[in-house]
Amino acid sequence: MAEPVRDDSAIDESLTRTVIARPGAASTSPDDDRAHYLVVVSAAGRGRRIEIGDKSLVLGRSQPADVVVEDQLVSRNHCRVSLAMGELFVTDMGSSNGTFVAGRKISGPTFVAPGDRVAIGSCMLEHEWRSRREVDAASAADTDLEKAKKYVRSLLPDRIREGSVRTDWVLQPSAKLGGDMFGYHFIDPRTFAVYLIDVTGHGADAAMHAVSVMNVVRKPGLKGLDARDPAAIAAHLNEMFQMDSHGGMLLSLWYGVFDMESSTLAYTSAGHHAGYLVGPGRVDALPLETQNVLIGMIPGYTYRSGSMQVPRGSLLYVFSDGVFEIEVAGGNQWGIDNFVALLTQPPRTGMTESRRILEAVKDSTGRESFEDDFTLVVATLG
Amino acid sequence: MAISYTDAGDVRTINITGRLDVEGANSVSEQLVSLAQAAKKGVVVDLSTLKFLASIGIRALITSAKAVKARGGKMALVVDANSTVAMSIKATGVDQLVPVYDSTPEAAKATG
Repeated sequence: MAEPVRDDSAIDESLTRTVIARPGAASTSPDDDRAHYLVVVSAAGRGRRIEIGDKSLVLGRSQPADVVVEDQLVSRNHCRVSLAMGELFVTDMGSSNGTFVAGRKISGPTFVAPGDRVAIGSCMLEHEWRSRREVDAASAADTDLEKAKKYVRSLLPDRIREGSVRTDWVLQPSAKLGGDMFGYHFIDPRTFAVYLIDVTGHGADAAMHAVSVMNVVRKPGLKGLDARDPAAIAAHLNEMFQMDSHGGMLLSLWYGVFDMESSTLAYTSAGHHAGYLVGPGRVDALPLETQNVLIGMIPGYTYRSGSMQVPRGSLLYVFSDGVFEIEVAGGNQWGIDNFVALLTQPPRTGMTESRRILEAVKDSTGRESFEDDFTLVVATLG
Repeated sequence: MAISYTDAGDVRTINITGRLDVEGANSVSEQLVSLAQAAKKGVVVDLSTLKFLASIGIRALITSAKAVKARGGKMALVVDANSTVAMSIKATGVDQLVPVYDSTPEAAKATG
């Protein structure tokens, strides 16, 4: 049976009287194009913007609520938001889990000041009272960010499903778009290169920088530079992309080269955490890391590389810090040790290895989306 | 997340607590870079109670260290050796640019 929908709640007269005198309350000046918005600030649906006009709106889990918030903890008709005397009010509609304004559970119609947050279930909304023109400009910037995301995605390589070297990957970009990029290619028929970069910061500028660095990694195009030498590649990028001449941006790099004939893997981590190698028996995960600095930090730095024999059929995991720097309940930090422990767990049928890990991280952290890009490349080295 | 500082003689000690993550990093990063510009010989950045250091924070540390060095000063970090912050500092190689100490007196002594 559907939950009863209460009739349009009358706003308590005494409440409205107390707030209309508030300095900065809604102006009626024709030049003022400000409107009231509720903007989702919690992870799921972050950035979603609901304009509150003359008609009151019901927020609930499913139709016929005017605004559907897909969340198990939200009731079908959870709360009503409406304007009275140019101010925003919210009224709980007898929801199971309650409606909270600025952290307090509400009973009657409750005034929501600009900047206050309204929580229903696990959804958090912030009240913005802003100029429509400003909002339109901001959403145009969001659209540009969406375009940048699509562009980054279009540059990612296809998975390699057959042959002695196979790959799969996941890249789940964060709402803000981090500066992660990765790629792989055959330098020659016996040599496979795989790499991942992470530019400091977020947004379109970090993504653009990542793209331009990646173009150099793919085709170093420098006579005498051997793409099979990870340390030489790192040094070359370091010369090209010093922070002082690139908007203060830095990046970390993990770059590995697998020689199929000799079954050796040469690698460098430049300001990047280790990549991990897991043998065919999945007994343990071996860190592949060299002590270096971020690319762009110290001019003329001599980068170190490492090399090892790889048992055939080993799995190489290369990933960004977004896969393990995750805040979990209680403000605690999930870390790289938690992540690496997942690598040696058994594969799951019908699921790529990278997807298995993504799902395992979600299970372990209790999160569906992450603050940073989640980028993981898995290569099977045959 | 909070940033504060104390000046003692020729050394400024900047203390950052909480989480230097994506959400608040931009403003704290700017404050750090600007606080590190003080005309002091030594700048100590105390991260010993910092819970998390995102890459944007790493960038602010490096920018500050370079600025301090460019005006002839010395910068040092104080980090809890067993923390994830220490791991980030080591993985990114910041410790190769800025010396890292266990305690503020040691760091102040090294920069003053």
